[in-house]
Formats: sequence, C-alpha cells, structure tokens
Amino acid sequence: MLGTATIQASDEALVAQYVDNGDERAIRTLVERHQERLYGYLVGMVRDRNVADDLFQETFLRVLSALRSERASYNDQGRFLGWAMRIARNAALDHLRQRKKWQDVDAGAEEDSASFWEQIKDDAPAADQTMQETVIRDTLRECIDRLPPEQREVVLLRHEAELTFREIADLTGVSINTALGRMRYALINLRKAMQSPLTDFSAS
Amino acid sequence: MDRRLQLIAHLYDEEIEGLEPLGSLLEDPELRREYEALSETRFRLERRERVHPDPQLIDLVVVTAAKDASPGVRPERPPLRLVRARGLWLPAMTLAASLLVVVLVRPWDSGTESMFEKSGPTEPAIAAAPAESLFGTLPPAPAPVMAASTAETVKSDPETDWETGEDLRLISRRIAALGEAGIDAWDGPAVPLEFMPDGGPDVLTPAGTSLPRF
Repeated sequence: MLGTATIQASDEALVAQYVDNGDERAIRTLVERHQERLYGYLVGMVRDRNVADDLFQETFLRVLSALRSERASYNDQGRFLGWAMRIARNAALDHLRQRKKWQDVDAGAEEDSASFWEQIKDDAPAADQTMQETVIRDTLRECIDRLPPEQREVVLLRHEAELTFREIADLTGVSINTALGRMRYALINLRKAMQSPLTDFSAS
Repeated sequence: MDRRLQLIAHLYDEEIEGLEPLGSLLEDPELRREYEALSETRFRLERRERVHPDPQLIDLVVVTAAKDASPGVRPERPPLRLVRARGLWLPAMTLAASLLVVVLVRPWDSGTESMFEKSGPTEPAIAAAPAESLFGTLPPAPAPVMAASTAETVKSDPETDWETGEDLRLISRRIAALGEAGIDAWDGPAVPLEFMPDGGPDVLTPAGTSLPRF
C-alpha cells in the first residue's frame, strides 16, 4: 500500500527517495504516474503494442540506470517527464531508424518553404454528424497513424505526453514556431482525413 | 509570430510572450473559421481513449528498480562488467609473471649464483685492486647494501677471500713494476708490449700468450 505522502510527492522528491534510499514505492509511483504519457507516445510512434511494451521497459531501464549511475544527466530543475520522454523518444527513434521508418526533417527548410500539406485543398465533404463516437475514435487513431512522422510526433507529444510546445520544441530540436506549425498542419490534415478516411498522407 | 500559429498557441493555452489576444485574432473571419475547425479536431483528439501498459510490465520495471537499488548491485551493464574483468585480469597476470621471474633469478642474493655472476669473477678484482694499490688508502667504504650477512658469513665467502690471497699480491707487484719503468705516464711514447719490463713469470705477458689466473 502506497502512502499518501509518496503518492503526493513531486517527481523530484520521488527520484531522490529512490536514488538515496532505494525506495521501491517511490519508483512505482513515478512509473504509474507517467505510464499513460510514455506508453501512449510509444504506441503512437511505433504502432505496435508489443514493440511499445519492449520500448516502455527499455525506457525505464535506461531511466533507472541513469538515475543510479549518472544522476547528473537528470537535472532537478527540469521536469522528470521531459527528461524521461527524451529517453523514450531516443528508444523509439532507434527502433524506427533500424526499420528505416523514420527520416529526420530539416526544420529550417520546412519553415522557409510552403508545406505540401498547406497546399491541399480542403474540399472534402462535411463530416457525417451521425457517425458513432467510437467509430470516430477508431478512425482518428488510423488517421494519426497516417500522418507524416514529424506531425504525428507533435500530436503524440502534445496529446499523449502532455508536453508544452516549448518542451516539444526543445525535445525535438526545432523552434517553437516549427512545433506550432507542425501541430497546425497535423490538425488540418486530421480534419481532412476524418472527412475523407481514404486519404493517404504517407504517400507524400 | 504568424497569426495562424498564434491561433494554435491560444488553442492549447501555450504561454508565449507577445501573443495577440484571441478576440483580436478571431475578428478575422478566416482565422475564426480555422479556429473553430481546429478546435473540433482538438476536442476529438482529447476524447480519445488512453492506452495503458500491461500491469505486469509495471511490476517488471519496479522489480528491476528494486534489484538495482540493492546495496552493492549496479544497474544492468553486463558488457561493461566483462570489460572491467578483462581489464583487471591481464595486468594481474603480468604482475604475477614478473614477480615469479624476479623470485627465480634473485638478483639481490650474492650468495647464490645468479645471472649477474656469469660475467666472470674478474670484474670485482679489477675494480677493487687498483683502487687500493694506487691510492694507498681506500676511500671510505660505502655502507653495505646487503647487511643481512653476519661477519662469519663474510669471512667464509669465496667471493671475498681473494682480497687477502696471493692474487692480490701479484697484482700489486705488477703495478709497482709498471710504475718503476715509468710506462704509466700518459704522455710517454707508445711501447710495444714485448718491450715491457718482465717482472717474472707471473707478471705482464703479451696478450694471447697466457691468461692471468686469479
């Protein structure tokens, strides 16, 4: 049974309890507190729950290893989630690069030129208002999967990991304008995809 | 910042300095339409079901954390551990081999034959005898390096017996003969060895005819 003090403790306090005292309850609280954010991001990135399971475990093994042996890499001033999310992202990108499903985007070029997605005409018919919510959710998940990787990642980091755009920009190494721009294109494309589910974004 | 990006910042309540008020942005009909459309998509995104990892996965992580937190247990880094083991093993073996060689050779033990004695017994004789004869009195003897031997042991040591024997007297006689003949003067003319003064059968002889015996 976890104590109230442990449950209410900040991430930084839990990290200190684990590192200094080996407190198992502290690390359980920390993992359970952030499981949805990290796991949701990983599932969205790799689109395979079995792989996401492996990456989730690998992420926390890396987190634990870093906390125990290289605590300096964890900055108490920053958010634990942002730091752990960086480790999760590296694990996910390593996996995707191995399978050649990820290609880094030149953020500068993206900012300077008009995006392909910006030029798509929004001439799809209006969404069917009678569509069941469950169907919409399933469709939405499929549409997210078909977004270009950099847009999908921003959606996942904002909606699953609940990072701010400033944190997303820092994590992905782009300006905040680029992060906001990717989110805007993602929302526009998702709307179009919901109205026309057969749109193939990945063909771009 | 682009007004359309400012719209996204407002949509997600992102705190950014210098943003125009939302009301001001929405006065533009095009921006208003975009804002409404994107708000709806955002709403749908936020109503998605969250995915959770298997509870056993959480347990596995916690068990690993507990194991790593145990005293004396480091986080899992087996490759590094192997490297460390190899890194210690080789120097240890090298040191042990070096010690074994030193123990077998025993260069400090003058009472037994060692690799240093194989250069011949003439070296200590040549080094010591002229010093005593030429200077009359020996300079103060250096402190003995190996002080473990007793006086009795030194007396019976065959390595030092020659100093009081017939060999020492022979060397002294040769030096005295050379001195009388004046051939030890450095600036004198070169003299063939055959013309050297003969001090007797055991005195100086041409090289190769016989070897001095000590």
